[in-house]
Order: sequence, then C-alpha cells, then structure tokens
Amino acid sequence: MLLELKDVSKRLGKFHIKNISMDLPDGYILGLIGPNGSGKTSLIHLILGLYKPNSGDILIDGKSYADEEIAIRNMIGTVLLDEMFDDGVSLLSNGIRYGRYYENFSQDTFEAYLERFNLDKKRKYNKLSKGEKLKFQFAFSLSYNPKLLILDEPTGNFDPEFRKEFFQVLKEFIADGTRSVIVSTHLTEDLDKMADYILYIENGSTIFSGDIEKLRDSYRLVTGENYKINLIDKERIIHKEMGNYGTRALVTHRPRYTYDKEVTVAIPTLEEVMYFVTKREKGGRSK
Amino acid sequence: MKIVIQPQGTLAIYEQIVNQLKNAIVTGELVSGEALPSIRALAGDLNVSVITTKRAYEDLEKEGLIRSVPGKGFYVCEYNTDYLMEKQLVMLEKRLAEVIGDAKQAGLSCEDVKEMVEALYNN
Amino acid sequence: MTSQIIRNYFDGFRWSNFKGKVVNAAYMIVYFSCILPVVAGFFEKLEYAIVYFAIAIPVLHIVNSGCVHNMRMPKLMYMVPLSQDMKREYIVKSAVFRIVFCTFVGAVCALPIYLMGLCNILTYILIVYNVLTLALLFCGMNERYGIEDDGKWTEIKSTTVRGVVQGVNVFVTIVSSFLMACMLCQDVNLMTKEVPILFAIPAVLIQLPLTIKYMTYWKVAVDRAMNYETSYDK
Repeated sequence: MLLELKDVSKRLGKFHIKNISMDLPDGYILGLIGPNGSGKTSLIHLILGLYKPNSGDILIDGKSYADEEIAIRNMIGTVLLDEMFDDGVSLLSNGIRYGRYYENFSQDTFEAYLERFNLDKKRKYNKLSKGEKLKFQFAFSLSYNPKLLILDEPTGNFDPEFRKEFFQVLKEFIADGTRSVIVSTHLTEDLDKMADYILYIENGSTIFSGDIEKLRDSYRLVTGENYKINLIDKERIIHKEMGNYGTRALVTHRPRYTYDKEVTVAIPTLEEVMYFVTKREKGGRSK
Repeated sequence: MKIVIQPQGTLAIYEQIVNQLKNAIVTGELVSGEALPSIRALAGDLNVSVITTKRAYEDLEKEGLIRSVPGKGFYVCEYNTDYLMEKQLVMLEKRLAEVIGDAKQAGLSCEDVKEMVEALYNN
Repeated sequence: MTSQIIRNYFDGFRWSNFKGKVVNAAYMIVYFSCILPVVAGFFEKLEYAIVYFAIAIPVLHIVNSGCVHNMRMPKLMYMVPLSQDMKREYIVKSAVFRIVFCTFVGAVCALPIYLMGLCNILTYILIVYNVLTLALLFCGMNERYGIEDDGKWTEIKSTTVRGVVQGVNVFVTIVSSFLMACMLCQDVNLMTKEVPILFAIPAVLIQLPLTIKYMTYWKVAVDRAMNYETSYDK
C-alpha cells in the first residue's frame, strides 16, 4: 500500500476532518473529489505531513512521518497551488537549488521534463503564468523519481492541450505498477476515465471511499416520469430533480435490482454523483 | 481482436469489455491458451481506468473463461464452445423477449417485428 | 544553506508580504511621529537630516523586515527531505542572520553621526544597542500564532509574559527615541553627557532585563517553527 489512511481525524478551527479511511495500492490513481471547501486541501496537508492528525494513522508506503520523515519526503512529489519557488531565479537554478535536498534528483530528468512541457529552463520563475508555474512544479516533482505524486487541483489552470499531456504523464507514471498518484479536483470529468480509486468528501466527512467500480455499482441515475420514480424506496433516492419533461434522480443501487420498464437507468458520471449528493446535503442542512 | 467502448452506454464499461471478450472467445477469435493483453496495457489502449479492466478480467476468471498465471498474465481457458454458445443463446433470448414485450406494448404485430428485424439484420 | 537563507531574506521583501500587517504599521506611525520634531527642523541644518536618517533608516528596515519575515521556513522547505537538525539549523540561522544584519545596518547608518563628531562613543553604542533590541523584538523570533485545535487563538504558556515584555520594550524604545528627538529639536548637542544618560536609564535598566526574559522563549519559538502547522495559518 502506498497510502493508508486509518480513521484520520483533524480539527482545524471550526472545520473538522472526520474519520477518513482509504487504502491506495501501488500502481493506481486516486481521485480526491468534493466541492470547494470540502476539506480536500486540508486532507492533502495531512497526507503531506504538514498537519498532524488528532487521531488515526497516516502511512506512506508503510512508513510514518514520526519515524521515517526523510524517507517519506524523498518519495513524495507534489504539485500545490502555492507559488513556492524563488522569484527572479531561472527555472533551472530553482530546480537545482531545491533538488539537491532529494536523494534521487536528476538534473537530466528535470531538464527533459522542462523540455517536454515546453518550459524554457532559462526563464525566470516569476515570469511564468499560473499554469506554467504548476507545470514547472510538476516537472520538478518528477525529477527526483517519487513513488507517490500528490496533486492539489492541478488542472484548473492548464490549457486544454496540456491537460491531455498531463493525464498522459500520469498514466505513464503509474504504468509499471509501482507508483501511484493522488489528484484532488472539483473538475471530475477527467477522472471518470482515469481514476481507479475515489475518495469523495464533503464537509470533512467521507461520502464514498473505495474503487471507482464500486462507486459505479453503488449509484444509478434514473430518468422518467415522476410517479414511476416514486416507486423506488424513498430512502434510496439521494436527490430528485423535477423538470418539465420528466424527473431525474440519483438512487443507491443494489445488484440485480430491476427498475420499472419505463424509466431510463444509467450509470452516473462522477460529476452527476457529486451534483446530486451536494444538492441533498444542502437540502438536508436547510431543513 | 477489437474492443469498442461506448462511454454513454447503460452497460458498465467493465461489462462491455467482458461481453466483447466473451464474444471473441465464442467466435473463436480468441483460442484457448492464447495470452490476453495485460490489465495495464488494455486499460491504456482502451483509455479506461486500470481498475476497470482488472474487474473485467476478474469477472471472466470467475466465470472460468480465462485464468491468471501469476507473474505472467491472463490466458484463455480450455472451454466447451457448445456450452458457451448455449449460454449466449439464453442471454440473447432473454433480451429479445424484452424487446418483443416492448413491441407488443407499442401495438406492433409479429409481422411488423419480423419486418423490422429483417431490415436491421440485412443492414 | 547559508546562501539560501540570505537569499530568502532579501526575497522576502515583496509587496504581497506586507498586506494586513496592522500592528507593524501602527508602530511605524507612532515611532515616526515621535521623531517628527526632528523633521520640523529638517531643512535648517544638515546635521539634523543626518541624525534623522541615521536613526530612521535602521528602524524602517527592522519594521519592514519584521513584516515579511517570521520565525519559520518557506513552505517548500517543510516538504523537502530535511532532518530535524537541518530544520533547526535553518530556522536558527535565519533568525540570527536577521538580527545581525539589522543591527549591522543600524551600526553603519549611525556611524556618520559618530564620525562627524555629533555624538560620543557611548551614545553611538547606545544607538546600536537600541537597534539591536528592536531587531530582537521585531525580527528575531517574530512567530505567528496559528489557530489551534479548539478554535481559539493559541496560548502557549509564555504568550502573556511575552506580550507584556514586548509591549514594555516597544514602549521604552519609543520613549527613548522621543527623548532623543526632543533633544535634537531643542538643539542640544548630542555630545553632552546628559543624552547618553537619558538613553541609558530606560534602555539599560528596563529594557535589558526584559529583553533577556524575552529571549528565554527562544527555544519554544524555534520548536514551533519546526512544524508547518504551528507556523502557517490554516
């Protein structure tokens, strides 16, 4: 297991991260999803060892921060939204400055990734656009051959072209089955095709944690006339949306359950799951 | 061997893979003892998650159509084509029955359905 | 590592780092109002201008430095593989560099006053001592207070004591600066014996023990700075 979260809780002021558990084996992509403010970044800070959990354990490749911090840090690559590198300094120098702390840093690899991402190594860090700064961070993280890549909301600032490239790189990264990726995002479109595991949190609590096929088994998107949809057990309907031409509802699915013939049943995308669950949460709170 | 994934389908992607591999076995496109592409390679080619192809292979393995050789990969099992064919037929019958039920509800006669089937079959 | 510390020091002076520094801004206003009498006579004599700058520039530098530097590492440094010893070294070295550099600026700026014979050596030393104290207060272990688990503002054991010490120290600094400004305004020659004494009484008698007391929290501050959590806002 490259990442094990065991019942991790953390109080952050009024906000609480509550009892999160997740196992990510070697060679897979974990999508950390949830609306803005759901605690994704805080959870990433916990996984990065920047925050210490109040209870529960966080293990990276079986190691804990308390015992083997340096070993862990050598195998984690990060892309965060913060602009953390030195302004007024070239990309190459920036890479060398911080790369020298890493056991496996390779300048050749670093330069190769800069080239691949169309970044001029002589450019100054502060002259880069937001998206380019993320690309640079990504190139830097790959330069020391980490085992676990942790990416916080990376795709929002990428142009569509690089976005494709980015996911290609992630696929290559996990291709040999020894390395894994954690990517947090509220844009789930790309994850539908890529993610193997999903950790879906809202308000600091787990909505779903497990492999994406299990998620797809757990929900169905049902469309049809309202009275037909009402035939489904009430507690199974997560949220229902009535439109002029029919009703759409997200329901929890049971294997081999047969739906009414006149409703259309589809496997929801991550986006659809998130949309309906968020609606329910909001509805629940206002009551 | 060709596998086509329809993203908007009501069938889960792993089910689509399972069905198409089954068909390939029934039609003899995949013969017993033949090696299947690795889970990761297939996921890459089809542009789907690794876990999805993994699940498809696991399902096929459960049905006894393929077997995994640790450290090597997946291979097509020795199987009884007739038995498989039978199974496929049962499934087809079930799906046809559903369609005919729908056709009856729409007020179509047997002749109408036959015509429709013929037209589609020759298409 | 040393070169990186020096680099980070100068990189820190960025406009984005100055936002929302109310306490520092307030101090600046109070302080410079105290020196204002000097400004009144600014254009009358060259000496006034020199004395003014000799004292104002180091203070400006210290307060600005205090705005942009905290006792913590840049975020990236919490994520690179560093041993506990290396982290400690980085934090302590950065803090020492800030104090030494600020005092150095103070000493250099005040040098013309002494060289031009505007003050005696004792006054010069006291001016530098004053700068050192300010440097300790504003940019030595100027740590941040994060929100702790229970949602209240952090109260490490020493916070209250430190608050008092800092407050008194700042007050003394202002008073002594004010005294000096008044002297200058009345055209009292800085060479006279009264000035060093006027300086020395508040400075040494009140400031010194308090500053020493303040410095006893150094270790606590360093320990806190070694954790990202206790060094950055959540």
